[in-house]
Amino acid sequence: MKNRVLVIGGGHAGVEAAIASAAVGCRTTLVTPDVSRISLMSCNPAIGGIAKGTLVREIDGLGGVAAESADNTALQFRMLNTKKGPAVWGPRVQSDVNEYCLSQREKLEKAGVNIVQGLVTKLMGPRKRITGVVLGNGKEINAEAFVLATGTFLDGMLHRGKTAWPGGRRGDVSAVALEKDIRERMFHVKRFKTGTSPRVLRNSIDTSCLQKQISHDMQFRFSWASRGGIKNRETCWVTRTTGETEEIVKKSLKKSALYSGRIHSKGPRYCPSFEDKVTKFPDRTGHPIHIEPMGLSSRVMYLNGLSTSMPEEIQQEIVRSLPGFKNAVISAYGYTVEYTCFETGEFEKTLRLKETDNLYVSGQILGTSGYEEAAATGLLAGANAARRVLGLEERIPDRMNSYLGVMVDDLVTRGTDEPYRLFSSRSENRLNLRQDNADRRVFAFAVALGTLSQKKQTEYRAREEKYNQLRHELLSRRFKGKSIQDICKRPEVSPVDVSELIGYNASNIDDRETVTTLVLDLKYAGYVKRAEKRHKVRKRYSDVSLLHIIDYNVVDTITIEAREALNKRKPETLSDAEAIPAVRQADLDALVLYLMKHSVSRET
Amino acid sequence: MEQQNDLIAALATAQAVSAIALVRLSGKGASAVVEKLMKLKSGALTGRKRAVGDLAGIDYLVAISWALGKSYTGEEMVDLMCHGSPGTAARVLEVLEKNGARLAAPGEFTRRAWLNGRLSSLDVLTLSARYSTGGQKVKSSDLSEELSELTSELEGFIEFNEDHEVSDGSQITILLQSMKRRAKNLADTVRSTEILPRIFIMGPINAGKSTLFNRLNGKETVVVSSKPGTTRDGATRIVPLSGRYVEISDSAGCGGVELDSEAYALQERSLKSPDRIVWLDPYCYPPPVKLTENHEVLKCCSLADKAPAECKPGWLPVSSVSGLGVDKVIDFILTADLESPSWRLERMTSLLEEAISAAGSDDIALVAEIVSDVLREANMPQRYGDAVERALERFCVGK
Ligand SMILES: Cc1cc2nc3c(=O)[nH]c(=O)nc-3n(C[C@H](O)[C@H](O)[C@H](O)COP(=O)(O)OP(=O)(O)OC[C@H]3O[C@@H](n4cnc5c(N)ncnc54)[C@H](O)[C@@H]3O)c2cc1C
Repeated sequence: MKNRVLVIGGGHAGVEAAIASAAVGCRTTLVTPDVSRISLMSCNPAIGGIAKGTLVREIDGLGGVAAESADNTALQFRMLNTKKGPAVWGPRVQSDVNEYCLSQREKLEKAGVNIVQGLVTKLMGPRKRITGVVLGNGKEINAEAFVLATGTFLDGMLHRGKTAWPGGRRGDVSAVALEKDIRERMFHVKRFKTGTSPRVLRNSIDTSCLQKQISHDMQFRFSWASRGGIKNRETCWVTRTTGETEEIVKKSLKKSALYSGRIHSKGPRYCPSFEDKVTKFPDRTGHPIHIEPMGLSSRVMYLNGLSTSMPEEIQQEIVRSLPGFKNAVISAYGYTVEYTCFETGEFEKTLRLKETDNLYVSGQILGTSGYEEAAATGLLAGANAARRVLGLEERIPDRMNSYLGVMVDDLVTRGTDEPYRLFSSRSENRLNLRQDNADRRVFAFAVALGTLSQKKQTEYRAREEKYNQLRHELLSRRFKGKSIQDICKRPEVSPVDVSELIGYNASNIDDRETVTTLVLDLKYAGYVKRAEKRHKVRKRYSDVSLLHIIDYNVVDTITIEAREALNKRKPETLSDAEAIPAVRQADLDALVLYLMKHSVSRET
Repeated sequence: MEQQNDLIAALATAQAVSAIALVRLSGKGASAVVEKLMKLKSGALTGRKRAVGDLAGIDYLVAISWALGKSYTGEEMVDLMCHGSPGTAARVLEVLEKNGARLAAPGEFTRRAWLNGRLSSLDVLTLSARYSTGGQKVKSSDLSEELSELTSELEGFIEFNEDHEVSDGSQITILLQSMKRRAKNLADTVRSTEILPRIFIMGPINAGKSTLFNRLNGKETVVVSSKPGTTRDGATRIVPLSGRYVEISDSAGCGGVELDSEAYALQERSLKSPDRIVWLDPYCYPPPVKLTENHEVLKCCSLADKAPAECKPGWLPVSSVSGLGVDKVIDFILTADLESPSWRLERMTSLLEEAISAAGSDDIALVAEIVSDVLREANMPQRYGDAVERALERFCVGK
């Protein structure tokens, strides 16, 4: 059969891209150098977190596979932020890294994706319309649309101390030739960097003095397809840096690849290296370090929070200064990877490169960071690539309905000058973008995108019906003279209480979750409505064109700083102007006034 | 509009005999001009400095300079304190003008402070409310600064759960409570001093406009007569209504059967877009389109006690004699500007109350949502630019 969509790179983005493309209905091939490393977690062995965990559930609602694999391979589960409100609860699992790779590979095979082992070295055809790819062994593969999902591999350079060597990540080759081809095709690219922590042998750690962490006692699973809650299969530990740790880092700062001036690319401010932490907060000690197994009974433990690119001997010193790590043996040292990704402005919200008809990008090369971010953008890129091939309209998620929408919109309209990761605060509709209602929020988009199987659609509709029935029943009754809305607004009311009110027996996780969503929907309804209204107003700003202002110096009522910024950035619309940091509220007020006067004088 | 940042000067104290008069000079080169006129070393009045001496042979005075970004306007600024005799200040201004300064327009100092981010939009409005009655200045930007700090604190608390150890729920509650108290105090002071947008009572001759005006005013201040056209020139009063102050204009009769076109035209010219109109007409003839297009108009079927004609749909039956419908008219008047500082501060107070309750139930995400609502109230959104412009008009030169 003829291949229609080709996905380059079998990481978190590539797997979802290939499966989504197949789901939309295209014969799909995935090219990746090593099938045993499909969806390998390059960094920490965990999926989820604040906003990220919610995104994983959106992926599930969109027909993706990360959620199911995360459930199947979880070693323990924790719900972050339980003391900060249900809207920002962050489900997170520790994963068995190898099991995860296997699970993802299985999903690919089940979806009928054709897997080819190989390293893409060149694209074929004109820039506008790619016709195929060339592999390292000279073999050529043709297709009608392509999804690039090459992660940290494009001209990847690894750094540790004063040494630097090419590589996509530890144990992988760098995609040098492909990067060169991309540059030669005149796409605008930039260099980002990110780092990872040393791994330590489990039996060299004395855990007797460390704080233990096991699963939260809470029934949870990411995917509606999983049965039963996640079970605790492994223990994690927490230790804290001592003043000694910080001292070692401070005195060796010059030896770090990051601080010796060897790396100039931008790293994630929010996922800082340990060097960054010590430099930024010189007085703080006691930084928490989480000790996480790379797999069930794995010999290797990941030190979350200790990302560093110090030379090996310093890493040794740092690790050994931690309580419980006096005799620790490092099995793999931390390092920093520097890689090429696409410049903001190169891709559309459909994730297609603007200058091309059929080349899509996803994952790390969009300028994002994180498995979850990669997986979600992969899904969107893969589905749109397939839709384009089939002559269907490409789809764009709405930022008011999903974190995927927030992310895509941010990346395209605001851009990013450091690896982008999701935060709950990136959304202006946070009380609605919760983990419990992810499937409800994305369902319509999933159907439009064509990635959700018939079976899953039917299951969803059954849940939806249950929800509506319950909702109807609750709304049509009064409880001791009070409406259900009033009751739900009371802080102490739990979904269990509400189930009892109407004698509803929520016996399994699914039913309980449906009630939870209903209660939270009622509780936050007013706020969500307001957020949506504000969004509409803001959207009107995006209708106000600023293109007729050639030189902002004529708008003499705004600050000089703002004028300069506006002249430099030349925003297309008022909402683009709003997004420029140098443009303050008063400047916007003044700009609106100017526009009002201007439009009046044009009319008369 | 004038070039921003150019050198402006004005008398900042009242134009009367007093011990001391303050002349304010702001803009690029302010320090250099005064340094030259006072024969000081260059740099003597750069930054936060003080100098005493003779200025151009006019007066022996005190000059205080302000650092860029630290002055009222945020620009380079010098305050000159001279003797308060009439004429001295005028001569100081004159020599400043000769040396490149330009006389400031009303409200121009404040406008610059606003444009340079020294005052928030809400500050300008509260200041203007204050200024109208000559009270001391109220600053709400401290509150909004604290609010934005709290916002980032909350976001950090939500997103970086492991590393962020700065605050917990109880601290947040204490902060919120203190802010609520201050917002409430501010609301109370501002409410008693601000003046809402103008209300014009309009309608055909003898529709009962003056009677309504007097009823709202509580006093018989306008001559009420059944002889058509008595209120030829109209009257304007600042009227206390439910603890707020409203500027109400009674206007000459117009439209309808008999039209005092000259008076009407006069009235129409003085109308500005935020002004609201209470239109009275016992016969419910539609008011002029020009008014309804540009203003919020409350259509009242007046003289409802006598009921000379039937009330049409969309019209509010009003009788200033029996009081029918007057409460609705008052509502319309009081809500004329829901963006006024006092309304905003009141909304901020009740939102903060809501936030406190959310914090009590550990719903920090909800607290953050509400606090950003409060912040939105404190930071004037774009579309109220004209409210700020209006407020700026109220200032006299030197503010
Ligand atoms: C050292 C390091 C530190 C990291 N630190 C963090 C962190 O602190 N926080 C965080 O959130 N994330 C971190 N990550 C990022 C995280 O691993 C990525 O965000 C995520 O894996 C991106 O997924 P992806 O699918 O885009 O790319 P990847 O998971 O990198 O997958 C890319 C895939 O493409 C394949 N490929 C590459 N080039 C070619 C080619 N030419 N032909 C065929 N196949 C190709 C690769 O073999 C690989 O399978 C780190 C990654 C690394 C390597």
